[in-house]
Formats: sequence, structure tokens, C-alpha cells
Amino acid sequence: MPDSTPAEERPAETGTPRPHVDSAQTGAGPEMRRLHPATILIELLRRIGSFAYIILLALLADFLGERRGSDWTEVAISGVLVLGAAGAVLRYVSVRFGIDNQRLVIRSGILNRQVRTIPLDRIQNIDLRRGVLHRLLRVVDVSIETAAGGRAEAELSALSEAEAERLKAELLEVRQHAAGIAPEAHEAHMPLTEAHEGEVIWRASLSDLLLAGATENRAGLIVAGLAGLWYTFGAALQGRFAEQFQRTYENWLGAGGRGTALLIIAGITLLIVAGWLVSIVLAVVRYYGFVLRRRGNDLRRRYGLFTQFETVLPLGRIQLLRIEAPWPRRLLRCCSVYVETAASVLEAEGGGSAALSPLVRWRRLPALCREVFPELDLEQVTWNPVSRLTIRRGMIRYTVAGLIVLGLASLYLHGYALWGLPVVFVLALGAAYARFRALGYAEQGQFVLARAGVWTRRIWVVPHSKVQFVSVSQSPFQRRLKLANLEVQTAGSRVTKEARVIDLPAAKAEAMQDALADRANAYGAWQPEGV
Amino acid sequence: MSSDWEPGHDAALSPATPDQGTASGDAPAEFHLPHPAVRTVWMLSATFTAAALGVAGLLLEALWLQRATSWPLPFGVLTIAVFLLFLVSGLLGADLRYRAWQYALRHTVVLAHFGVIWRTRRCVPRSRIQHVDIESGPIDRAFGLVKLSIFTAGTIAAVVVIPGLSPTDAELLRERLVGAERDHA
Repeated sequence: MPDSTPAEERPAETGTPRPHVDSAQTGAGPEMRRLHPATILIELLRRIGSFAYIILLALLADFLGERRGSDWTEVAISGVLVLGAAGAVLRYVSVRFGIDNQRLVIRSGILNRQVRTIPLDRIQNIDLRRGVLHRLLRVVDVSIETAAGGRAEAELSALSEAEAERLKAELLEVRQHAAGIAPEAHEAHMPLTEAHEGEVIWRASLSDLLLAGATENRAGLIVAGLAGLWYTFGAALQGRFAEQFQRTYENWLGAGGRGTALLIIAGITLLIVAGWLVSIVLAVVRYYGFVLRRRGNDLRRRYGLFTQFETVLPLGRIQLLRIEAPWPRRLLRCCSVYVETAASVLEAEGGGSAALSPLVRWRRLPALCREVFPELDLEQVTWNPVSRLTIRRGMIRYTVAGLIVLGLASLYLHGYALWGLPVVFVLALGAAYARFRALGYAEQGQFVLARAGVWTRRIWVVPHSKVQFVSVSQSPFQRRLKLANLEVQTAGSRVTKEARVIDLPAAKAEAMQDALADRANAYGAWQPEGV
Repeated sequence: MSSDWEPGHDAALSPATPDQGTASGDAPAEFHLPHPAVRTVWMLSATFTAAALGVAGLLLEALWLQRATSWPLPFGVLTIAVFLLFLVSGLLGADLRYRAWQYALRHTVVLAHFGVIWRTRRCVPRSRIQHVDIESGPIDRAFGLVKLSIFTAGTIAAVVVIPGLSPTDAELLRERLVGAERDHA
């Protein structure tokens, strides 16, 4: 945990004056609010959802069993329903929350009572989420996270939309004060308008979303599809159905092997196109109406067609910026931009980071990055190559991999595999050179940048102020060539790898390490809300 | 292969700095080594691990012999081989590990070198240290040694664990890193 200023030392008068009632003792806070009554329905459905398997199994057993409509099934199902309903009602009845003396207080439970207190200045992220049912009932789930890691520290499900907006405004008030911006608490009752949500800095167009879906790296999907096809057709072709199978399809696809070949090709094409269309539709549904806004020192994202998401990303808590371009996007000069914060909420999104936009066209990238790090000028970055010896390492690595593949292939190809040797060497050399060109590092002002990846190009941007520690590591092979990897660790999520420069000359790596550590040290203690 | 889609531009492709050896400017005197007795600690703990594995292996083999009718090796041979492998690698490894370990407390950073096969040189900016643990296992205590772990923000595991410190040294180090002495450093 950061050893920053404890919340008690923070002047309590910074906010709009509010009564200081010691709720911990009196039990009655200044204003303890409760969840929206729709909670009962939502919680009930959620609980039934988690028992869905049991209910389905019971129904199935009932259906297959000899004594149809047995009492047991009814008992099980009604038991689940009653328990679920009771739990849902108890949750609605028992949960109270309020803000008291710069702290969010949440009480819950009837037998096991729990009071959770979260200092407002420790809140890292506020997530608003509404599914289809939520939108019909006009309610929102709110989850609140601190830097402690693990799950969300507070989940308020569900609040009315107005209540959620009001709570968000109140929770963010502390930060807005620090940034010298007028509190928005009093505005919160007013209908939501764009002005309240801050200036729009990014809006993804429909074509952006279509392109994002179309260029998603779905190589795995295609390979799985091919494997599935091979499994199905291969078995059919070799099995005892082969003859019958062939006869059936020969009738309408031409004679002999040509028919089956056509069929397989058609199947593969269909599968790839279907997978592609699915990923386009998924991207549009997920990111529909993506808007990124800025208000004071926060970035706010909102997106989603059916289930809507809203995230508040405090700018000061962004630990690093990652730019990613899988090869289809690189060809179209697009990429994605992610930020990592010190909290763990975003791990649910995959990759432990938040997308600033599903797709960014390269010419607009520097402007978007400037919204996060104003001093960063991506266009002026000078990339330095790593040691040329990395080509040798890559060559050895890829040749060994190629020879193993060739060795396996020779089981089928026998002597012909020898013809593969020159191909392996040429491919290995090409790949090693491409890898060398992809690797690089750069330093600009208070930022250190690393670049890697032949297929999926990645660029990390780390501000010196967010560096936690720096490592230089050497494998036995690197030691022989006097090369080393430089790793820059931040307090960002642990899911994604840290920024890393591969195969620097060892002396250079150590010099950079010392300089980086010195500069990080000069920024003083790490503040969650720091520079 | 063009990288013109990317931000920035590449510098000339010839290496900016000539490749040199690991010529870090660290004066050797600045580095501290763990107490030599830590080798014995590591060797003992490797022996205990190997012995525990050996006992478990013998039990498994006995159980197996009860059920199966055929076993290619005489009783205990496989277990002894595994035991010896762990023992020898543990005993040799302890010495190699000891020789790889050194640390330095500089003005701005804590510097640690460690690792036998994969070598790591880790720099922790002193202002970034969140807290420090001092811990010792039973074998450590028998030799009067402790370990000092350094933590930074956002990491669950310790960033650096300095082994083989005497309790007084560890406390001195802790004072320097996070105690009152930090502010004078």
C-alpha cells in the first residue's frame, strides 16, 4: 500500500460543507441511502443464473427419469427460488451507503453485519455498468476499486441512474478539488448532458468499429477451425463411411477427389468468413457508441450496445501507455491504445488495461496520446536500434525451431525434407532481421519507450515518475554475446508484461538502468495520484 | 517491412554504442556479500528437501511394488537417483548462488546482483520502497541469519530478497531504507 498522506490529515473542509456526524458510533450516518428496489429483481435473476445448472440438471433428471414430475425436482427448484428471493430481498433491505467525512461507508448484512469504509482519496476507479435489464429498469451497477488489488472493493447493485451519477460525482469531488475544478455534486440531479461529462476527446465512428472487428487478430480462430475441419472430414474420409461419403458428394460436386477437395475448400472459406463476420459483429456490439471524454484530470469512457460500460480513469493514476498493432491493423495504418492503472478493475477487460479507443488511425495517434501524457510527442521520437547481435540470436533460435519442424516433417516426406533446409535458413534469416528491425528503444523528455513484435507491434511508453524498479537480466546465451534485457516495472496491472527492451549491449543496458533508477528516485515517493 | 506507420523515426541502423563487456562502473568495494554461512543454510535446506523427496519416493515405490507385479529396477534405485540429483544440484547450486549474490546501497538506489543461470541486476530507487520485511526460517535462525525483503507499490512479491544478513545488519539496513535515517540519506 502506498504510504501517502493518510486521509485524516487531509483538510476535511475542502469539500462543500457537510455535517460531521460520527456515524460509526451513532449508527445513523449523515445520509445513508439505499439501493433501488429493482435490486430485488436483478439480484434474484443473478442468483437463479448462478443456479441455472442445478435447475437444468434437475429438470433433465426429471425428464429422463422414470418417475416423471417427481417431488424432488419441484423441491429443488422451489428451494432455489425461495432462497434466491430471500437473499435478494435481504440484500435490498440491508445495504445502506453514504458519504461521511470524506469516506464512503457501506453497511450490509443482517446477521453478519459488515461496515466497509473507503477513504475517497484512495478510490482508483469507478465503473458503471448496465445490462439490458438494467436499461429497461433504468438502473446501474456501480463498482468502486482502490489500489488494493483483487476484486472490486465495493459493488453497489443496483442504483437508479440519477443516484449513480450523483454518487459518481460525489466520489470524484475530492479529485476535482485537487485539480481546482468546481465540484459537480450540485449538478448531479440535473439531467445528464455532455457538458457535465466533460469535453469529448474521442468518438469512435461506426467505420472505426467495423474496421476494428475486421482487423482483430483471429489467427487462433482460423487455426482452430482448420483443425476442426480436418478432424471431421479426415475421420470421414478415412473411416468406413468414406465410400458412402464420396458417393453422396460426387453426385453434385464432380467426380473423385476433386469433389471432396472443393468441399473442404468451401468449408474452410465459409468458416473463415463466418468467424470474421462474428468478430465484426462482436466488436460493434461491444464498443457501440464509444466515447472518450475528459473532465478535469479524469478520462471517462462510455460504450456498449446492449450492456453499457462506463469507466472513470484518473489521469494521474495511469502508469503506462501501450500501443498495439496486430499485423492486419498495421497494414491499414491503425492501432489500439491502452492505458494501465494501478488498480485491478480493468483486468476483467482482458489484458489488465483499458482501451482508450478500439481503433486509432495512425495519424490521430499522437493527439490521443497527448491527452494522456501532454509532454509526449510521438512524432518526434527517435528510435534507437538494439544490438545487431540480436540477428545472430534470432537466426539461431528460428533455425533450431525450423529444423525441429523439418525433422517432424521428414517422417512423412523422407528424403524430400532435405529440400526444406535452404528454405529454413532463408526464413530464419528473414525472421531474425525482421525481429531486429522491430526491436528498439527511445528516450524523450521524461519518458522511456520500448518497441517489440514482428506480427503484433507493441510500443510501451513509461513516464520516469511511474517507474518502480528496473532490472537488467541475461540468459546464458545473452551472456556469451554480452547482451542483456532491460525491464522497466511500474505499479500497473500484473497481467500484462512490463515494458522491456530486448538484446541491448549489456553495458548500455546497465547505464540506462542506472539513469532510469536515478530519475525515478528523484520523483520521490510514489503517490497514487502522483505526477 | 517498412515501419513508417509507426510514431517517430528510426535512428541510423549502426549501433549507437559499441558493444562492450559488462563494464559497470560499480567500484567493487561498494558491494556487500551475504554472510558466507548462508551457503551452509542453503545446502542444509537442499539436503532436507532431497531427504523429504527421498522418503516420499520410497513410500511411493513400496506402494507401487505392492500392487504391480513387475518393476524394471530394484527397490529404491529410482528414488536414490532422484535424491542424489537433488542433493548434488542443491549443494553445488548453493555455492554458485552465493557467488552470484551481491548487493550495494547507493545514494539513490538499492542495487542487487543475483541468479546463476539467468543473471539479474536489479535497481530499486530508494524513494520507491514502500515497506521492508525481515524474516528468518528455522535453519536461518540456527545460524543467526535473517533475510530482508524489499517491496515497492503494485507488486505482491518482494522485489529484492537479500539473504544471509545478521540481525543487526538487517536492522541497520532497514533503518537506512525506510527508517528515520532515510531522510538524511
